[in-house]
Amino acid sequence: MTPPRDAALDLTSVATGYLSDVAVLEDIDLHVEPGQAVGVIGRNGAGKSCLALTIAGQLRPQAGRVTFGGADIAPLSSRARAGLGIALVPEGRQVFGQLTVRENLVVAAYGVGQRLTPAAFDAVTEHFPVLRTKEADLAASLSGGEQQMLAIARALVQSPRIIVCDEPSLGLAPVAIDVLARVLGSIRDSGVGLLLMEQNRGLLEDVCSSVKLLDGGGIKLTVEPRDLSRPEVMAAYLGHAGSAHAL
Amino acid sequence: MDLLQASIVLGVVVGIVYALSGAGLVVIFRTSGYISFAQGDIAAVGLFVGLAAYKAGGGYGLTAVTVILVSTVLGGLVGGLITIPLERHGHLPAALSTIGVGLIIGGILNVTVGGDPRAFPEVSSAAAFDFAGVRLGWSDIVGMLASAAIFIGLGFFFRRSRIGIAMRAVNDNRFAGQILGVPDKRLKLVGWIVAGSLSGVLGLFVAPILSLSPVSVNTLLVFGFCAIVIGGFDSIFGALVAGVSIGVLSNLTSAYVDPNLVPTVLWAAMLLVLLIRPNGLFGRRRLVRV
Amino acid sequence: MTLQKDVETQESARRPRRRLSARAAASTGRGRVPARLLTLAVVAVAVLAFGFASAPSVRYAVILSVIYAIAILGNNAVLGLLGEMNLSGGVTMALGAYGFCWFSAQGMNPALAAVTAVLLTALVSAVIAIPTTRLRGIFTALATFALAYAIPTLAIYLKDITGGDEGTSAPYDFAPFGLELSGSTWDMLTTVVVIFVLLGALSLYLFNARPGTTALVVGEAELAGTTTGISHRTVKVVVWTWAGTLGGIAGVLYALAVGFIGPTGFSFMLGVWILVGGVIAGPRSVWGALLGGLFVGLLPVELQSVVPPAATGIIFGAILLIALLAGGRGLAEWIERAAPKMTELIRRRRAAS
Repeated sequence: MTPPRDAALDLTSVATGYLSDVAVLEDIDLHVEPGQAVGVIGRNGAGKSCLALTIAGQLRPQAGRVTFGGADIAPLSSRARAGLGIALVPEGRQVFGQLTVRENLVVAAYGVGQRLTPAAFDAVTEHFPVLRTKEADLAASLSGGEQQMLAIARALVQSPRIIVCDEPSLGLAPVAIDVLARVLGSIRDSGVGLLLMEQNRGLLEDVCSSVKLLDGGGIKLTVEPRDLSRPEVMAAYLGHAGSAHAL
Repeated sequence: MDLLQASIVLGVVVGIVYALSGAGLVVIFRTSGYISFAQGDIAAVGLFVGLAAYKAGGGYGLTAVTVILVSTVLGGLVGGLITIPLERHGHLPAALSTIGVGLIIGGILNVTVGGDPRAFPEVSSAAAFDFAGVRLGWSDIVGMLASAAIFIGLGFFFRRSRIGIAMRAVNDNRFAGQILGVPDKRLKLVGWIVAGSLSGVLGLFVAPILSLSPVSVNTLLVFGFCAIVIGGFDSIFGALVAGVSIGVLSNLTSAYVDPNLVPTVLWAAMLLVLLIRPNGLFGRRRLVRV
Repeated sequence: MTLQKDVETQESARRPRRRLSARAAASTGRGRVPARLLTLAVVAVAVLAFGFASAPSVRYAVILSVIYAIAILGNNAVLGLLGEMNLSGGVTMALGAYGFCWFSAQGMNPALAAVTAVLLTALVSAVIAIPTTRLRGIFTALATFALAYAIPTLAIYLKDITGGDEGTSAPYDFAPFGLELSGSTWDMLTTVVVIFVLLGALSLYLFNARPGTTALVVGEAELAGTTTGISHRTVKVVVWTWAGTLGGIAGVLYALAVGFIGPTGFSFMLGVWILVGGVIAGPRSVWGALLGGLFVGLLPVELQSVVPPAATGIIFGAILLIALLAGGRGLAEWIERAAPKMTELIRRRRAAS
């Protein structure tokens, strides 16, 4: 069941939602391959988290196919998907607050049946030196940016092929977002596929090679990151086509 | 003076067993976030089966193994079939279900074996040595050592082992655990199985002292509750210290005031500690960041 | 924009204003006060009729059931509104009962003694509630569990007041308004049912007015971990005191009905029964409390003719588990939901034939 190293994540005509009979998103097509970063931009409530949870196996698609390395993963649990190499960095970070930083990483490794070896710990914290100095602190005592780093580090420990990041910039200071962009870039360059759900345009421009615009229950446009600042694209993601002239 | 010494020494001995009676509860609490009120009844079933094995000619070793085995299996069954599935309705129904299970098991025991207390064999009835003028039996020593070993083992388990850390993680943030692929249901079941076997071990030490009846282990669980609440659920060391303090406190109350006041003193001590330190004497304050 | 708003206002004005949907009313136990009062009255009359028609031994059990129902009604406020586990229902009953007996024994007029005992119970409940409500989640259950466990031995220790092991007797010549209040008399039955109905109506009123809403908000907010600008502690202490007061009333009535009280009557299992009765019948239903009382007081008596007394725990545990598996909302809510469906079904059948 181990997928080839170049396993790509594909969504084909996927419909999904929080209830089994109400679709939040319909007809979603996505392709992410290792070493590539794809962005998804959309307003609050556009369905970014819904899409992330569907890929992570917390929600079942109502229609369409979700494949990884060509194999259908729709019936698989979150646990099985984590084992295959699909990691989710959930919205709101969701660290284990009463566990130490190191213990958070131990649990992540345990989730995919591995041990957190000193080498693995060093490899992951190379991206996040602050986590190394706060190794024995409770995760709840970290700042928002540090918690986001921990959430990403937790995904990295699982040596994933694809990481789905749900609004990593949410609630972070501009400085922390810059650090985040650098880290995500180096993760992408190390050969991991990134699917980045975001509202922060700058982060998408820095990291992604293409950006999907999520609006009205589907993917409305696919654009180059540098086109995100063009008025008609901005108008589309800000929601009101009619107000484009105001920009 | 003799009375004081005896109260203190025996208080320490019995206090460690009190702490042990809280250990099983800690395991369930740390994975699931609530408490089982059925552990005493689970232990009682194991003890009665063990007693039957003893009467059928099995030695003490066989009896002990039977007791622990039965309560382990029963603990797993109760958790796996009833309580863990009920968690989808919330922690309160899950905790209430353990009361229901306790009522059922107690009822079954009342019907099958009856409520009369019976003698239960102990490890050894021989006296070991005198300590500060107090004679200690071998069963006291074994009980103390086994309890201490279990506590140290548990502390190590939750601090160091991957499963122990993952169990705490599941209780901390279930969603994050699922996302990371932690098998939460299975870990909770492990918690119930471990708690079941611990209550069996506890029963082995309690039954010879209190004599065996369907409620004898339950009686001790009250002390266990107090020990872990006072010591703090996070801290294995705290539960040990609290257990010993409770043992000494209740022995002193019993010797100098009135045995009937012991439960009231325990309740007051527990409430007092919770007021001053809501997470127990040695518990860590929960950090909450919104 | 303004035009659209006007349209919306008209729309909402035209629609009949419903405060709660049928489902919301059933699950929260709020709204539809007249219907609920009627149900309460009907169930109370049914209990009365059953009690009058029964042999004295069964009537005695019915009286005790209604007394338990009063304690359950109080405890349900803690369970149903705050979502907390209170195992000290038996403790407040003991306080009320012992207080009543002691005050009367001191030469106090029994009626005054009853009122004083209830007030004392309310006061003690409030004092105990102040630290207890600081605890969270399962710790309230543990603290009240330890207290409930301590009561019988505490009663023995305080033997100057409680009579110790031997117990103490209630005033036996207490006959306010010419009512013969003891044992299984008709007067006793009528009195407890009337008191239950009055307290039930009062809780319905409070539940639908501000206090109930506030308590519900506090209970739900605790779950959601949000702040609402209400002093949670104060609200909780008030709810717990309310529960304690009803427990005290139940205790006084218990002492009157039983005539003689001792420590064995207030074992920690009494608190468990009061809690369990509420869970089985539905913690947010007033007439459900009566149902819960009958479960606790009458079912064991009736069961004993079928199964050995020792086995009643099995039946109770099983009923509790079934109630929890059904969603933990209790039998009363289930009936409240099913009843409209049933009447609808019957109406359709009639229309068809």
